[in-house]
Amino acid sequence: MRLPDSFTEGSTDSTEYTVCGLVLLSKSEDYQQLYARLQTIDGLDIYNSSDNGRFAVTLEELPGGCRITDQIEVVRNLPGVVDLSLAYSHTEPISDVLAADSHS
Amino acid sequence: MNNSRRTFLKSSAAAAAASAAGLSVTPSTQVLAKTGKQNIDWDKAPCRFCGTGCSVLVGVRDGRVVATQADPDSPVNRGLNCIKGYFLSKIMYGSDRLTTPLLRMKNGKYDKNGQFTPVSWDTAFEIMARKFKKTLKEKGPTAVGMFGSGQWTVWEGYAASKFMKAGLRSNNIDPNARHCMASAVGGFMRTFGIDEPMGCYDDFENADHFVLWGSNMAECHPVLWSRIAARVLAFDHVRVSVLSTYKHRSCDLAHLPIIFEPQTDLAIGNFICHHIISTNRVNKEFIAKHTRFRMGATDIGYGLPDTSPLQMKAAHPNDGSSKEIKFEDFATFVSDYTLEKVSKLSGVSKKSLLELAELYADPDTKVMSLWTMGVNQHTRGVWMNNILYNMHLLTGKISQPGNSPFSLTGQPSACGTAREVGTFSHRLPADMVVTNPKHRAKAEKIWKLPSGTIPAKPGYHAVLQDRMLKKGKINAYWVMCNNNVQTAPNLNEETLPGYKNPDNFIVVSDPYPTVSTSVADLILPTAMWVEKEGAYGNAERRTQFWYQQVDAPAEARSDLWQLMEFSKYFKVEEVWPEELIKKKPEVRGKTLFDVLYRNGNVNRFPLDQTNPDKNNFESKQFGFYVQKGLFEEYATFGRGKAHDLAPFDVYHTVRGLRWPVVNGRETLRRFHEDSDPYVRDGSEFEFYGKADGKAWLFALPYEPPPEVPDDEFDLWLCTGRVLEHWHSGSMTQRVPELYKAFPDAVIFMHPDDARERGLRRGEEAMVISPRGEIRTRVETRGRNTMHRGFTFIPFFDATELVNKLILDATDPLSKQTDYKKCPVRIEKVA
Repeated sequence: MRLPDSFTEGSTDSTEYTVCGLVLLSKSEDYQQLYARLQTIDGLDIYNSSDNGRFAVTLEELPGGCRITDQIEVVRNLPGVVDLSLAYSHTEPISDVLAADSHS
Repeated sequence: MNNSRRTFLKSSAAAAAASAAGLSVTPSTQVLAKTGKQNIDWDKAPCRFCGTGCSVLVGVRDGRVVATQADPDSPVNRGLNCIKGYFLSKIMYGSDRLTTPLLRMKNGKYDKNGQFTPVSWDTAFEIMARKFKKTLKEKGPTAVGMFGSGQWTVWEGYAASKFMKAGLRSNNIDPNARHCMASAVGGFMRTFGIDEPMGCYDDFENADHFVLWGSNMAECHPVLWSRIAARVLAFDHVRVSVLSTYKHRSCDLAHLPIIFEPQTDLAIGNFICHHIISTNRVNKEFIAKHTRFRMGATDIGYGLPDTSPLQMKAAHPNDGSSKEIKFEDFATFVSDYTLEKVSKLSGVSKKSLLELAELYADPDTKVMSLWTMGVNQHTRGVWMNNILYNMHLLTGKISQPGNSPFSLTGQPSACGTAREVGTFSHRLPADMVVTNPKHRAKAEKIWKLPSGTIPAKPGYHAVLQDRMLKKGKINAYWVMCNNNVQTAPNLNEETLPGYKNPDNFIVVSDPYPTVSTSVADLILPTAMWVEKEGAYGNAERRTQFWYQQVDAPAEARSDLWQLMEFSKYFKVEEVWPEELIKKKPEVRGKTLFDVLYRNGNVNRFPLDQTNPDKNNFESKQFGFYVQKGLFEEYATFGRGKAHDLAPFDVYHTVRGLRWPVVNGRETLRRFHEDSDPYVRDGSEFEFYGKADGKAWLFALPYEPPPEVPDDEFDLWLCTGRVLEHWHSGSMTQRVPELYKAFPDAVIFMHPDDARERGLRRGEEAMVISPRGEIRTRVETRGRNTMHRGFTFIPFFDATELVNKLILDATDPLSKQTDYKKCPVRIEKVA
């Protein structure tokens, strides 16, 4: 079922903030090269990793930035990525993020 | 932007990822991640999508699901989810959610050619009851039907089966699991005499070799695939083989990717058995003690109508019989499947075939075979399931850690609901069948019904229901929790005519408008997932519960409420014959609701036993703890019969338990003395589904598919799923992130095949089969790599109804459709 127009218009990427926590697996021999490649991805931060090929990374989508689902696909297709899973995802209006801070 | 809220959210994401990856989390991150969560209530629920049974934490704020997270305490997914699981919180909030019953009306009255008009539930049920009663009066119980789901909760399936088989006295109820798991059921029942896998997900951490047969786990069971990937990366000796008819994402991890000609998996399996025998690696002691051999009937047709030329050619149409043979006869039978012959037939190199066969034959290699729709959606699907078990039984590689033939499931409760509850047209709970008088008597006793209530003849299965709607043999029909018009085979010729037949009244219950609702006469708006208290059973026999966590919008009501409320519209005298009522006169004057659900069992648990912190709409409506009553009545069928379920309340406190649950303990592996309480001491293995405790190996040949490419339709077409979407997309297409990630279906094809037809990547093409045509766009790159002559289209897109193209051929034994092998022609759109 194709999305109704009212739903596709005003996509989340214009008004929402999204953050994902991802787990990546690679072969240990690919670890260094993959580490370097991950550092080139917009919105991605390597939180922790191990030279046995495990990475815990975060990906963010900010208004006007790359769509997070596209970025996940980019990461999945990086040479050396054997598996990608999500451990966390959160989306909220960017206005809420900003409002929370103005009240804190 | 650099602020504390963002830092907090990032810390939460980082902490969850690190924890799931087994990496350390800095104390400062932990502190940050734990703050600021106070305004969200979190509770567990199994995921709404596939049969893996991942547990997610559902976050609710102000009566709305605002977030979902992987459940770190779940033994299934261990803090991980796939991309669909992460957007679960959005599946309920599409802008076009159905919120009121809609009836086709003209001039203020029901009219099949009228416009959808909002009506009250009472009006909806009045007209619906009138149509069902008229049909029952004029044509009897065989003229009403229901098509249900492996996505029903356990108690919804149970209530539906009871309503149809006992209330309306019609066995014309079948789940959409017929389209995904029926061949697996047939395989289990034939080989072991009892349904569902003997192994469990713990086998992922014990196997040396994983062999995928017709399964793209990387996209369709991604969380389980992560467990395999983690094991492969951690241990040098662990290997993966993938058998498929095209190259997909799971092949990326495969040490041995094997692309074979469609249908020749039967021959490959027989070659492996031959190799095990000819190299003297049969586990002779196991075979002697624990197995029997059978020769199956052959040339059994393709499940097509009796008048079909293909069906008329078959020597033994629909014949599932078999004869006892000796091991030596079996060895002689499979010896015909030589390396040379099978390599030529399958297109697989001799080297690859030998390498694969050696893995099965080597007594020191623990093998986990995994399969899904490539094996089940197959005109010899039951046979292929049997042959997979043959390989494991010949070597005794079964029911032990890492040695595990494992049939994966497509839907969240195809096991728990469709199979265990018995919503198939021939089944009753706990593997019992309507054709067995003792089984019917047991069901009637538990249900407190007079003898003879349940009809003895199996009802119409899924494909046959569509044929009978077309013929006008079914006139009143209820579709619940599925989108059959987008998925049923041969849509134009077999399904749609039945829905549009002016003699028929079609009811479709769904949370959203779908292709199926568009051709309904009455649409009922449905509550979904955590808008109700529920239970699912996953592929490893794990039963999982959840509470209602939010209210459904407006007038949307759960399938359970719909079934039970509708039963109030029938007086017993209106649906049961006088001779049946005379056997139990106290039912006279009562409604079906009284007889089926206010029977002393289902209404046994008072409302005050529900969770005071959660709403429970159905229980409040009916005045008792509905879910508990239904579950406990249902559990009566299986306790002491190797299908034991724990007491209801236990499931709300745990992340599921794998049945049989005996003396409070779940069972990891069935049929082995070490873990299965039903296996007698000293017997080591016991396949107790069979009377003598022995599993059956079947001698079954390769037989060709019903259609193969020819000059006119020169390419193979396979259909299936993609990671981002689930089934017909009625939920995932409404999540903006998932919609944008894969908005429209495409046809994956080889660039040379495209070029020969004047097509380039992204161009529009017409895909034509003998039964219909669809327009789609060409994809020659990406996640699937097609070889010459083979194409693939996912079925999630309602604007490209790929089911128009598919032949309604089924496995003659399981009645499951083959969606994987369809000859087509592809033309450039002028």
